[in-house]
Amino acid sequence: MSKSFEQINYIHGISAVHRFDVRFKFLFLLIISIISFKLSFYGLVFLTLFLFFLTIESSLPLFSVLKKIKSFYIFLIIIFFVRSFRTSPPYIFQYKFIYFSKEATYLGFLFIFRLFIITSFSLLFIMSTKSKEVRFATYYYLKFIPFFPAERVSFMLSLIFRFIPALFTSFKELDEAQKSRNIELKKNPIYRMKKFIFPFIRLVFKDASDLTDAIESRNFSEVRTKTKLPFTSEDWFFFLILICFMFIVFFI
Amino acid sequence: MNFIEIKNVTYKSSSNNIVLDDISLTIKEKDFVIICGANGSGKSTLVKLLNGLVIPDKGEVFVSNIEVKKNLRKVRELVGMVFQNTDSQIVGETIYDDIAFGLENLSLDEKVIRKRVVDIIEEFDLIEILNTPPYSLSGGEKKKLCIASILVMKPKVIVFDEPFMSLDFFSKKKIMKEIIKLHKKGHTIIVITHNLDEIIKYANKILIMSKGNVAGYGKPNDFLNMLENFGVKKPYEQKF
Repeated sequence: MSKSFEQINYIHGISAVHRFDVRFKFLFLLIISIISFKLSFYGLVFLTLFLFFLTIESSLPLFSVLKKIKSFYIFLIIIFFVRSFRTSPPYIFQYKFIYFSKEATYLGFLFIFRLFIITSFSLLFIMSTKSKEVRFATYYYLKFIPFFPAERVSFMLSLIFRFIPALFTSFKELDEAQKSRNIELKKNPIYRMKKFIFPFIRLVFKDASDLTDAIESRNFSEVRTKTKLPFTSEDWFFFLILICFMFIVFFI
Repeated sequence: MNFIEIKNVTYKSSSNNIVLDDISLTIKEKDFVIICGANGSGKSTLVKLLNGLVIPDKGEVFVSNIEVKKNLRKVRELVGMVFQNTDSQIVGETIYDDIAFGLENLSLDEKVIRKRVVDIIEEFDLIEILNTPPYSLSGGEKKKLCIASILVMKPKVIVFDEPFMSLDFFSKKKIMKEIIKLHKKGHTIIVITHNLDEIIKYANKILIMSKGNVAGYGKPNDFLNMLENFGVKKPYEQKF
C-alpha cells in the first residue's frame, strides 16, 4: 500500500503532460473541477477517455495508484449511499425505512463519478509537476492579492507536495510497528485510532522540526532566486486544444 | 588561527533543563574534530550553535570572527551541516532541485546556480541517478546527495551529525572517503559519531561531551583510554 502512495509524488518524465506549463495545468484542473459538476454522463465518459489518453501519453503509473487506494473507494461508496438514500418515488429498492429511487441512484452515481475524475486528474497533476513549479504557479496567481504573503504560502504548499511520500512512509512504519505488537487483536477502532494518531502526530512534528532545521541551515530566505518559466508556443497550442475539448465535452 | 570560538555558552531547553553548561572551546581552520559522548550529552545542540540553529542563553559563538547571532546569513554560508536524518534534509524532488535549493536562497543568478550544480553533480558522480526521485535513493546515496547539496554552497566548515548511522559497510566506506577528501581539500571538518573505528585515524582533535559539559578536548591519543567512561566504544584497533 505504501509503495503506491510513494508514487503520489513528482515522477520525472519528458511527456507533453510533463512539459505543459504549470499555470495552464492549474487552470485546467480548476476548470475540470468546476465543469465536471455540470457534465452529463456522456461528458464524464468522454473526460475519462481523455484521462486515459493523458495517462498513457505521460507513462505515469496512475492506474497502479488508482488500483491501490482502496480507502478512497470506501469513501466513494459511503458518499454514493448517502446521496442515494433519499428522494421521492419511483423506488427501485425499498426495505423498511430504506428507499432507493432510480433518480437518486443515478445522481449518486454521477456524483461519485465526478469525484473520481477530479481525484484522478489531481493525481496526474501531482505526478507530472515538480513542487518547484507548484510553488511558482501558486505564487504567480497569489501575488495579485494585496498584503497576502504569496511567497511564503507558495513555498509551504510546495513543501506539502514534496513531503506527501515521507508522511506515508512514516504512516507505514508506525502501522507495521504496531501490527508487530499485535494491535490487530484489539477490535475497538477508537482504541486503535488513539494509539495510532498521537504517535503519528508526534512523528510528523519531529520530521517538521528536522526539516525546519535543515532548511534554516541552508539559509532559507523568502528573497530567493525566482524560477522563470516563460510560456512557449507549445503551451499555448496545448491550451487552445484543451479549451476546445472542454467546450465539446460541455455540450455533449 | 582560531576559526570557531565558543565562549562561556550556556543553553537551556524549553523545559528549562541545562543542555550546555558554560562551555568554552576553540577550533582552528582545517581541524578535523570528532565529537562523541553518550546520548543526550549535548553534542547535536553544540554543533547547532555553529550554524545559528540554536542561539545560546548566555555566552557568545564566533565563526571567522563573526558573531553567529549577528550575521546568520554569512555564518550559514561558512558552516554547512549534514544532518542525521537525511529524509528531512532533502527538499527537492529531483537531485538538481535539491542541490540548487541553498543557492536559490542566496538569490544567486540562475546561470551561476546551474554551473555550480552541474559541477557538483559531476564531482559527486550523481549523473547516473540524476532523474531518480531522492526519496527512493539508498541510504548512502541520500547521504552523498546531502553532502553535495551542502558543498555546493562552498562552506569552510562542514559539520556531520552521525554520518554513518544506518549505513551498510560499503556506503560507510564511501562516505568516509568523501569526508577525508573534503578535509584534504582544506575544509574544517566536525563529525559527531559514536563509531570511532576508522575515522579516528584522520582526526587531529577529539571532543568528549558529558551531561552538557566538555569532559575532554585535545589530541585523540590522549583520551582513548577514558572513552568508555563516557558511553563511547573504544576504536577496535586500540582494543586488540
